[in-house]
Amino acid sequence: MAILELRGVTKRFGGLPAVDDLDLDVAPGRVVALIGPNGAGKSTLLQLINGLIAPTTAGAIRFEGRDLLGRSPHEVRRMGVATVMQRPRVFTSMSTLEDVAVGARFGGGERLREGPATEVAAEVLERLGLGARRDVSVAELTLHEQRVLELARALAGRPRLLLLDEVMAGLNPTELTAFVELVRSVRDDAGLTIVWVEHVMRAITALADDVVVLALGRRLAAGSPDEVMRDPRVIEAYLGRGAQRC
Amino acid sequence: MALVLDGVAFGLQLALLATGLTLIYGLAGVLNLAHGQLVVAAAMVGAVALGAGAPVLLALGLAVVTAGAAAVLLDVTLLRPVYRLRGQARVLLSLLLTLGVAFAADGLLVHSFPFTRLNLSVATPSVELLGVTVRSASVVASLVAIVALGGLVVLLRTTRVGRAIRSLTQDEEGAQLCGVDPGRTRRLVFVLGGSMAGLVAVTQGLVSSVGATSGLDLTIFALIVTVVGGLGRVSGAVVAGVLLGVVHAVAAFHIGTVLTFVILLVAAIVVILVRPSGILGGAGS
Amino acid sequence: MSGPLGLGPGGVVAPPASSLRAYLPIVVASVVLALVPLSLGGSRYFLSLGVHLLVVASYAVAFNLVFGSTSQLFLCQGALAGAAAYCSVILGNRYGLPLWLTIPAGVGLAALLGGGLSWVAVSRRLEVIYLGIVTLAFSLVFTNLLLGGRELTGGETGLVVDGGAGTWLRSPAAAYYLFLALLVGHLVVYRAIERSRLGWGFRALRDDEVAAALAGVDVARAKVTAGVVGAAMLGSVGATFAAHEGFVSPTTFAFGEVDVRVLVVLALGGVGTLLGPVVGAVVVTVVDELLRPLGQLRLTVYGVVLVVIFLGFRQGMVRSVRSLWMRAGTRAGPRTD
Ligand SMILES: Nc1ncnc2c1ncn2[C@@H]1O[C@H](COP(=O)(O)OP(=O)(O)OP(=O)(O)O)[C@@H](O)[C@H]1O
Ligand SMILES: [Mg+2]
Repeated sequence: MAILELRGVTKRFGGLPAVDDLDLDVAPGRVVALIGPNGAGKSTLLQLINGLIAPTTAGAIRFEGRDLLGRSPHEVRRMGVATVMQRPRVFTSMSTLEDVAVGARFGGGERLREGPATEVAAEVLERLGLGARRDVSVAELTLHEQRVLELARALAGRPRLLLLDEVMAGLNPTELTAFVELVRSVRDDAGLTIVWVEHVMRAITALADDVVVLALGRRLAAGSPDEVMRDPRVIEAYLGRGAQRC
Repeated sequence: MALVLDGVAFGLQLALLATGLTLIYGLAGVLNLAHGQLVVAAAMVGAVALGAGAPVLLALGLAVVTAGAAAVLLDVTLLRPVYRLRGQARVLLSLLLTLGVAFAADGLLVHSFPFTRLNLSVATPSVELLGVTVRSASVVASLVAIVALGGLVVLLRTTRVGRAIRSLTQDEEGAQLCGVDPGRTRRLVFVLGGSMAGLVAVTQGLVSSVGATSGLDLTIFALIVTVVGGLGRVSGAVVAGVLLGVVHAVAAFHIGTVLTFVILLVAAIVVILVRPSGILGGAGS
Repeated sequence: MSGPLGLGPGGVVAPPASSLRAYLPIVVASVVLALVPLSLGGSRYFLSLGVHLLVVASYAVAFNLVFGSTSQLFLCQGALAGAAAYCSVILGNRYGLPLWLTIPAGVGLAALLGGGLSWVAVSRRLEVIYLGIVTLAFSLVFTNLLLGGRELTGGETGLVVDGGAGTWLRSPAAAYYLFLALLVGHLVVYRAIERSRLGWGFRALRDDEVAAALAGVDVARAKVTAGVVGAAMLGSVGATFAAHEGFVSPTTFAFGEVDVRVLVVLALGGVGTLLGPVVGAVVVTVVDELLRPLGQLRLTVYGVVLVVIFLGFRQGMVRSVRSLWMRAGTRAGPRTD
């Protein structure tokens, strides 16, 4: 049984399809990498799932068998789907701990009070190695730390599905290795399902169970990382450019 | 018919008023709430110059130059910090700053010129137009507006600066990459927008008169027309100006000015809610 | 930068965790304000000035909740207060209903209008500038309907209020304490919300609406709640003020009369601070009296103050004094750590 199912999902921006009649099934506990050239519709797809964008045609998006279509982002979050966006979006007036506590207090299915929410936040920050920075203003964090912070905020609401959008972009090699390890441990600890948009091939080969290739909003190929990378259509559409980028 | 002609004449004034506002908003992201005060400042300078015995054309030229200069002064002084911000934050800060400027200017103008009015409507002969008698002052004012609006459109469509203005209006960062100097173009747009406000003082002086307390009302009218035409759209402002001018003339005749004003305000609200890009733009956003 | 679209408070501090420290400033402020009339010997002139001070401070608390906490630029404080006032007065005059019925009815109407405006803004996803224009247009529509609907509203001359005539409500001293109680009530509500789950949501959405929604904050509901509560605050003050004055007219609630002043008060005191509205109201009221001889030029002073605040002094007075205090403390006081 798939934890996430998409059927015939289409989103057009002014006539041009960004996501085109797409079907997708994600099995529980898998890490699914979503790759494709710039403008392939990857971010749009994640935002269709998390409720930030409404699809153009009806189609269906189901999570754990429940319909996500027509729900607003906070409802989707409370149902167990957390997102880390492509650009860091942090709460600049807050400390690291407060920022993560927002995720704990509002994100989970049950209503946490202030005290317990802060405890959960402190615990998650500790686990992700950001405990030492908990009382620092988030505006002072580095890009890498902000990414970890966002991951922490997402996890603080105890999601079952995690949507990651190019969280590795802009990190240096050391940070990248550290972040890959972080995502791996998160997956192992929590048994999370992860749908992960990424350009950094190293990270994908290290972590992904399945790879789905998007181009022009359609599925071009799918399979294990090895299979996909050998597929000539994929090499043509994506890796030719992707290889240069890395 | 007479009502419609009256409305068109009034609408052309509204269009002139609103294009200045919308041009500046489109390019600089500044919604200048002191726009009406520019008109008033121009009118007061013109009236004082006329009172001092200056020739009419010189006095009116001075008036227009005053408004243009005041606008560009605003751009290079108080508004400078605004341009460090982007998007919503820029719009909000400029809104609050120009609101402050509007109060400051209003207080100063009303204090300094409590009884001065720019009034050019010396007994002008009436002329026959489309079988209707109209005041020639009104015809002259409309012609001035048409020439100014036409000149603006030609400038935007055909010249290099015009293209620079239009490209910056669409995409500030992109245009900057292509070598358009945003600061210079912005100053030019403030001069243009301000001068058009100055022209409004002249044309309003022709058809009726402008006093020191008219600032807020003028700004509100400019806002309504700008919104109905779509914020930042010059052609929209022209069309909306003429349209609302006619609506105003016809409605004012039948139901009085108070309710007419309510109609215009409601029109602006409805446009924002239903078609935020203005009457010429596509629905929704 | 944070606060409404990066404009307001730099480095908002979370409300204190302990209840004592959270509500102490309100206690201190209300004691000080309660002692003022006694120290001034209860002169009628100062009392009526005091009432005006408390009224504008209460309006500013409401604006602080709507604009400071949820970044909704409502330019219709006067109209919302006025809607409640006229509603209450008309119900009282026409149907002879008592104040304890008509004032809540007015408050209800204001809350409905404020919530409606918020709801429209949220569901149409209005950007701040469009909400500003819509609410400004709403203000002007309100004023013009008052002027146009002569039979109901008395037009330009307004209405004389029958309810409350000859009672303590009309006495300056009693009214002063009544409006003080209203202000304290507003401050307590403001602080309680700030410390609640809803207040956490406000802080998050004020920093970044999208991130807040993705973290599970119901942004739409939070904003509409702020609109309803803020408008109810405005309405309660407006309707009570009408009952106290015994008279309502369009100018009492005009944009230039209420909204402009409230904006200056809140900007001066500090957007997003608990006592900013009170401090701002005191300063504006005092300065206003001192500048009375200037006549029209007072407006110029307001304008310059607004420009200066938004150019360089965006924290407002409360926060500036606090940071000065803390700096002085670290320099002079013995360090305990
Ligand atoms: N809000 C929008 N309005 C109009 N077009 C959009 C919008 N968002 C995305 N698009 C278009 O939809 C297409 C898909 O965009 P999307 O951001 O989903 O691509 P992506 O695969 O995430 O690319 P990248 O690797 O650059 O992040 C692009 O052509 C983009 O220009
Ligand atoms: Mg993307």
